Amino acid sequence: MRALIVEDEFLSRKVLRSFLMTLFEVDIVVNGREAVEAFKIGHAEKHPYDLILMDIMMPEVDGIEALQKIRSIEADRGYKPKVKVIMTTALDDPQTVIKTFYDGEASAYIVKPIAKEKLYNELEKLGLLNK
Amino acid sequence: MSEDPMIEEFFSEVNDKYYPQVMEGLEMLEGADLGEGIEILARPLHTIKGVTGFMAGFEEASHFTHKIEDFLKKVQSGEVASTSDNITLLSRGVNMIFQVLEQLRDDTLDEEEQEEVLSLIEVASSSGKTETEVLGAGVEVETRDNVTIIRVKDPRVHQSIHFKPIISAILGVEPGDSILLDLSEVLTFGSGAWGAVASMGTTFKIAACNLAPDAKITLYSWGFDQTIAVYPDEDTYFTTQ
Repeated sequence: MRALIVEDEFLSRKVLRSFLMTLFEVDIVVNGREAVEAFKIGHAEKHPYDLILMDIMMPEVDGIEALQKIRSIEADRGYKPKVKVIMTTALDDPQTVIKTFYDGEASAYIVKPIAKEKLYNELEKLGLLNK
Repeated sequence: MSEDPMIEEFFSEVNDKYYPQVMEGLEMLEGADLGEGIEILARPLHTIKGVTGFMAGFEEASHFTHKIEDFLKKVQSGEVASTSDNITLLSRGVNMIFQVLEQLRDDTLDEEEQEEVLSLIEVASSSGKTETEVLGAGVEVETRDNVTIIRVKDPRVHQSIHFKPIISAILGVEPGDSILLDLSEVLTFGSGAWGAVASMGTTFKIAACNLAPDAKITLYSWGFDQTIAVYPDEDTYFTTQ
């Protein structure tokens, strides 16, 4: 299985990668613009990502915007199933949480700091982890 | 409870946006436009499920909405037939989400009605299965060194239709004899199924091998390892006898 980490902070990237590398083939990008590119390349290679783990606060294109772009590409091109996306962020204000689920159709939302257990719980709920 | 800004914001979205959308979706669902109705329902339902997961005291609503969303997806994919009974049940479930939200906010939760809807959904979800699944793939039985080996062919053993063949095979063995369940083709094995097998454990010497992680977790978490011995594989079983 493939996972894409979208994260602008070096330390977070390192930690998330260490959590996921035993379960997935992991790629890392540093902003939302690259995330959309990576998503398209995954499909072009006929080997799409099973999971995207994406931060919300990022330079250039932020996480919610990138997620909306990904969802609209999926809708236009009829990609199914839709990729599972876990948003990882320090923000837990009501508007952001609501927007993430409603506008981005995120699969899950984890508030930082991300502990391995918290992440694995979400992966299990999404059917991406069999303990 | 209404002091929480997340709850305030959420209920205002529910009233202004999700509730009207859901009503529109339900109308289509019950009219001629099933597919579009489901499309319209999907987004507000998904949002309610996700956001209530962040609201202290509303976990129950998140859990309930999750089940309704699953059922909606099953109707959408055709896994559950879109009969008028199933659509009525879906509408009832969707309507009930708002009832559960209100009840949680007012602290007057009626769990009984929720349970009723969820159990109806469970029945509706399992009755739409194809015939082979309903019949179950059964078992193959052979003997080796006076041990009866029962090879289970169903990938998911949960309902009686799946575990009855195992029980029948066990009952075909002389009491006191050894039985080895080969579960190499099984992915998940429900607690009810383990319970049924374990209840035979006093009469027969039952062991199991080649357990998938899920099947193993269920076995250990329910304590059935006290009556069913677990071996990594068939050869390990025979070398330790």
